[in-house]
Amino acid sequence: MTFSEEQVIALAPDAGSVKSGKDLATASKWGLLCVSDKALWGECQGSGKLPYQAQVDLHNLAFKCSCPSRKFPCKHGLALLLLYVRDAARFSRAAEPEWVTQWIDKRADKVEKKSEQKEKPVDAEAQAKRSEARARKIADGIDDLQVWLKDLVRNGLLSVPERAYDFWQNPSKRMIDAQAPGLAAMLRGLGKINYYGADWQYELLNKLTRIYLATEAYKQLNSLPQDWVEEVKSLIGFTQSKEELLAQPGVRDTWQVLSRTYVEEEQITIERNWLYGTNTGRYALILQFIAKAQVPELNLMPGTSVDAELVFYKGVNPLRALMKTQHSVGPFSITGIYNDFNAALQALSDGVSQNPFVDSVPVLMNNVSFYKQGSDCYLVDAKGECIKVRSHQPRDLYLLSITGGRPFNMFLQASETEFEPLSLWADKKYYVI
Amino acid sequence: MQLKETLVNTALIGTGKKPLPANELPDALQASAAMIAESKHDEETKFLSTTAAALNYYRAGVQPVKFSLPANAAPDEKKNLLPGSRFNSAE
Repeated sequence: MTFSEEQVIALAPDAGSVKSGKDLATASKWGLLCVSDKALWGECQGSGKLPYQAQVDLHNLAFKCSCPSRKFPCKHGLALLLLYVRDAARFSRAAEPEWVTQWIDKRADKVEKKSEQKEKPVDAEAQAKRSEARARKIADGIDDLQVWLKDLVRNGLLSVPERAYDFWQNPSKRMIDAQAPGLAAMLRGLGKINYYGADWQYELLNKLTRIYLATEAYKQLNSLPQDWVEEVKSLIGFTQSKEELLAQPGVRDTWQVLSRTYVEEEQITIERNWLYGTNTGRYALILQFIAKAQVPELNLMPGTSVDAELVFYKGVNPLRALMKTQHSVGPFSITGIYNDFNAALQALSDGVSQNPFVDSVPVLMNNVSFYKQGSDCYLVDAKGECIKVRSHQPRDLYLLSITGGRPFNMFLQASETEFEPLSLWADKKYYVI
Repeated sequence: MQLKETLVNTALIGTGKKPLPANELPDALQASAAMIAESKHDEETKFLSTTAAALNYYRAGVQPVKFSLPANAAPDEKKNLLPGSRFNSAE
């Protein structure tokens, strides 16, 4: 397993933990430093009578410590992993003591138990009744929504910016009532358009027609192929049961963890992890929904790889996936796939033509450099062709300071309007943006 | 680019005042546009259906504007580090 120091630091919950973790990452502060195939553990003298026992699960990256800190991971866990990254030779190989095996086994048990839960008798009749009632509610809601959409295009979109704050709110609430949260979210998206921007007309029309397309597709659900039935149902807001998905056979591969980004939405942080399977050539997106002060279940570190089995959600060319079983963590190793922007654009074109609801596609590229002239930013490919990217600070400075104009391998999110760099790597160094 | 403008302009003014000029659509879209036009739906439904197809066609073929710029890389940074610094061995 190889992590870099930056990657360990990225795991810290805040800047204070980074500092205290670094301070503690000297061998003299530790009474015991051991490693096995499964875990790292050590004892660190703190302010208490007994030394704190810190441990790190190496298979399925996780931390535990006996200290009273509520931060996660705490400074001891961070320091332990930092020490290991800097100088693994300092750790003596040993068999896990009881306090380590206990925790590791409990973690493994938990995973097993999760798959055992269910087996509850299902009241099929009540379930059928409920889904029938929901179908009726959605059908009514969709009728209302289509009337609203038609009114908008009949009267013209010219006056929309004046009521940009609330014109979408009533139909959005109506869709919640109709138990179609997916449509409600699409309607909320109308409020996020920049109505002072140059191209709001196109953005608005684009979003409106896609909402219309989703409603119309749902009305014709019975005549669609199975993949599309699932795709359309997810768009409307039907959730797929995690347990059922995890019972399906997964895709085992060495998944390279490409990037991790966070989106805040209604008090919940959504963590987006992009993965790429080297053998299958598939991309996967693993989402984690984290409420305040909650510890994420899964810890995927960008710039490493995991040998794991993923289950994809049902749909058309699905990207979203769930982690089924994680076998081991390994080093990151891929190079970009596309050499120039034309190939990347072709991938975008394929994605959009196969699924009209696709906004952007993930793209891995070789030899892309970042260039800034005045206030405009560009990405330059190996052929010297440039694509303008939306500039925003402090990302631009960060990108410039890393790349210095030199070409890097890059992971990008490509949409018709912009290419968004998410991470880059060269010379065995990995940077997340 | 003209396709996008045609659709956007019609939507801005409203189909109540100016219906979509279907004959201005590209050839590739004519067949589906004709099929939608023949249906018995109202004008707004026809507009939304045609636009859904046309915008997907547009999005699948859109090319961001490309330029050519001289790209000059910055020279490598040379740090003078203290002897024994752990950065020396790492590089």
